[in-house]
This record gives sequence, structure tokens and C-alpha cells, in this order.
Amino acid sequence: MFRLPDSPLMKVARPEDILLPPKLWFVLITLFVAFAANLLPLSGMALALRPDFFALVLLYWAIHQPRWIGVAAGWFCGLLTDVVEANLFGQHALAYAILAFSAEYFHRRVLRFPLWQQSLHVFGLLLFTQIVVLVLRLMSGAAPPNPMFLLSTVSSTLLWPALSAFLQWPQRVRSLVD
Amino acid sequence: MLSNVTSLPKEPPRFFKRGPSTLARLTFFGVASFALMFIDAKFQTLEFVRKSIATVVYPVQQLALLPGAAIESTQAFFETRDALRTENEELRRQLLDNAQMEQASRAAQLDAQRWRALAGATQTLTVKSQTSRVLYLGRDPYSQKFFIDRSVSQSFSPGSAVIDGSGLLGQLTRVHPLIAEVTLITDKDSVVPIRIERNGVRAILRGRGPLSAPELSFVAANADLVEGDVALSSSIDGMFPANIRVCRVGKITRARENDFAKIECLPFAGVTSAEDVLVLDRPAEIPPRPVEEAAAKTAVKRKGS
Repeated sequence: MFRLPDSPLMKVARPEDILLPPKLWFVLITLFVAFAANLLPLSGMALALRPDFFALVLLYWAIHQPRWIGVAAGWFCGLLTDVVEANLFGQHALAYAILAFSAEYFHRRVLRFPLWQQSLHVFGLLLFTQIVVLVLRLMSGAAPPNPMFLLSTVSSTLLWPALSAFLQWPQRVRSLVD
Repeated sequence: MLSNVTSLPKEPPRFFKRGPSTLARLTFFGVASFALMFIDAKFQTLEFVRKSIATVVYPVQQLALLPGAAIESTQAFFETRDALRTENEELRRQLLDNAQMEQASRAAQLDAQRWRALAGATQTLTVKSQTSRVLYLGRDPYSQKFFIDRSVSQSFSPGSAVIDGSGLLGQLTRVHPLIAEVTLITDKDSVVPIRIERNGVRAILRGRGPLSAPELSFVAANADLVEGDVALSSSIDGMFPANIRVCRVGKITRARENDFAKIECLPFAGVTSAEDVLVLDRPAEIPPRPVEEAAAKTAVKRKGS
């Protein structure tokens, strides 16, 4: 079965473990970095393979900290994405709001699974987000895109275990990690 | 009874104050998104909001360009002297070639100017241009766009043609304070009036998205077009300056059941590879189109009398 390397960096808390509360500034900074990472000037295949960091970090915090990062935050993040991508205003806003909503709906359940099973949930949620955007775009009369764009959902899913371990790191009590 | 205890409730108990329910919030923001999409698609009133957010986000975009720039400069540092020398020689040879061409074209330009002056034409021949560089390609897989740099002193106006060394790239669609958005001729919404260099046949080039080459639309099946013809921009409707190389005519399919030929075109410009670009000023305003209603009315009258 899939196993993560045995290092404190790659371990995540079991559902019964108690974590330190996250700091608000840490949440905001990780969101900001993810947003900047989405802006990396890639093109072609690299762009198709690039995980949607922003959606991924948003999803992480929406699952782990739904009282801070909820539908409203998702909607606003989507709006930012719409502006920098220079496309129809509101499409990512809607997609990310739905993403945050489903994260909030599923968050108690998702966290009870081991990481690789969480990834499957994440795959479903991100794929649904991309399909929402696809439907909105096709409805507004855009040309069908290169199907490669779906690859970003796959790469995002593969990134989920490492990302959760990384984002949870500052929250773990030192004595439990060792 | 026991199973009730083990199952987790979806929502926390009602007595915790949590504001409106998640579903209510999703509905609210969903409606807001649809309203935004509708307003954005039908009216141009949201441009102000878009511009202000784009300006705030600009530093972050510049930040994201840093890693790429760092890699590039390291590569440039290690580029060997030899490579530079061969390139230098190559360029010198090209310069000679071009010098000859330039002489010829200058003579031709003078000729043309003289004829134009004779004919009383008011159009100027040369177009003012401003240089810029491509910052990054659009990340939206549904449209074909890229973003170019704009210094504060540059006066870009939406609608201007954007070219690279080999041909027409596209058109400025949005001008933000520090960047400008170029819609490529391969975008589905892009339309360019063209003229075939060989015989002056006019047509319209339409982009068809990332998966297929742009096509000349509504060209009669018997029009005199062959594979390899060069299409130049046409100044019809005053959108583009005339005589910019646009594309080469590729595969032509003439189906019997169709009145129009299907003509695929290959753009000259590096629509996926351009780095330095020129933004051409829009050609001088042309007199407005005569009012069609009046013309129709007189036609009706003439028929009646």
C-alpha cells in the first residue's frame, strides 16, 4: 500500500491527536504564497501539469479551519483568480465558493481517512471545480479547451499528502512529533 | 439508539451562534457570481473594478516572474563566447540582406507616396509604434491571450494591432495601468480583415481556439486562393493598419455540399513564442459608415414610386 516516507515532516496527525490552533497569519501567508505560485509564468505542458496551488491550499484550510476559510473566502479568492486570468468575472468565484462549501460539508468526514484516501476526496472536489468552470465557459461561448487542462487536477491530488503534512507541521505539539 | 451516538452530526448544535447557514451563504455568493458573470458578459461596467484589482495584484505577478528571470540570467551568463560570435556573424549577414531589401522598399514607399499624393489620399503610410515585451502567457485554457509590459508613459489604446518580427500577433483588448492584455489571432473571438497579397482577394480571418488553426470564413468555394498564399491585414473598417503579414494559407477543402471553402491558415507571428512585440497605433479615424436606415428607406421609396 501507499506509504509516506517516515520523517516528522511527512507525518500527519491522526484524527484523535490534538493539534495547536493555527495562526491566522500563517493561514493568510500560505494562501498568498499559493496565489503567487499560481502566477508562475509557465506555458504549454508545464502549465497543464501545474497543480492549482491556490485551490489546493484553500481546500486545505476550508477542511481544517472552516470557521475562517469558508464560502466567502473562497468566493473572494476566486474573484482574484478571475482578474489575473483575465477571463469572465465570477466563474472562478463561483467554482471556489462551491469548493469551499463542499469542503465545509465534508470536513468532519474527510479528516477521519488516512492521507491517500483523503486525496481521493480531494480529487473529486477539484475535478468538480474544474467541471463547473468548464460548463460556465462553454455556456458563455468559449472554444473547447485542450483536454490536457484536466491534468492539473491529477497533479494537485498527488500533491495533497505532502501539502497537508507541510501545512500541519507548525500545529503539531513537539513532544508528540518525536 | 446506540447508532445515533456514534454518527456525527453534519452541523454543530443550533445554540452556537454561527451566522447564516453554509447553504445560505453558498446561495448568496452563487447568485452574486452569476450576477457578475452576466454583467461582465453583457456590459462593460466592471472594467473599473477589474483594473483596480489588477493594479493591486501587479506586484505579486512581478514576484512570480522572478524565478524564471533568475534562471534566464544564469543561462545567459553561461552562454559561450562562440555561440555569441556565430550569432553575431549571422546577424551581420542578415543586416546586409535586409539593407538591400530596405533600400528597395524605401524606393517603393516613395513611389507609393507620390501616387497617393497624386490621388489625393489622406492616409499616412507609416504607423507609429511602441515596443514592449511579453510578460507571461494567459493561464486561462479557454482563451488565447498574453500580457505585455506597459510603462506609464506609453499610451496604449484598446484595439491597437500587436506584431512581432514576423507578423500580426493580435490586438490589445484591455489596457491596465502597468500591463496590457493582447488577444491573439488564434482566439475564438478574434476577427481580422485580410487581403491576399497575390491578387487582393478580401476575406476575414477567424480564430478557432487552441485546438484548431484559424480559418478564412465566408470565402466562396470558387475564389482564387491556393495553398501558400500570403494574407496581409486590410485597413477596411479602420481597425488594423494595412499590409501587416498575417498568415499563410494552408489546407483548403472545397466540399461540394458547401458554398464556402474551408481554408485553414498558419499565422506568421509566433503566437506561442513571441517575446518582444511592437504595439502599432490605431490607424487614423475613418469617416463613419453612412446610416443604413436612411439608405433602406430611400430604397423602399424608390420601389414604391
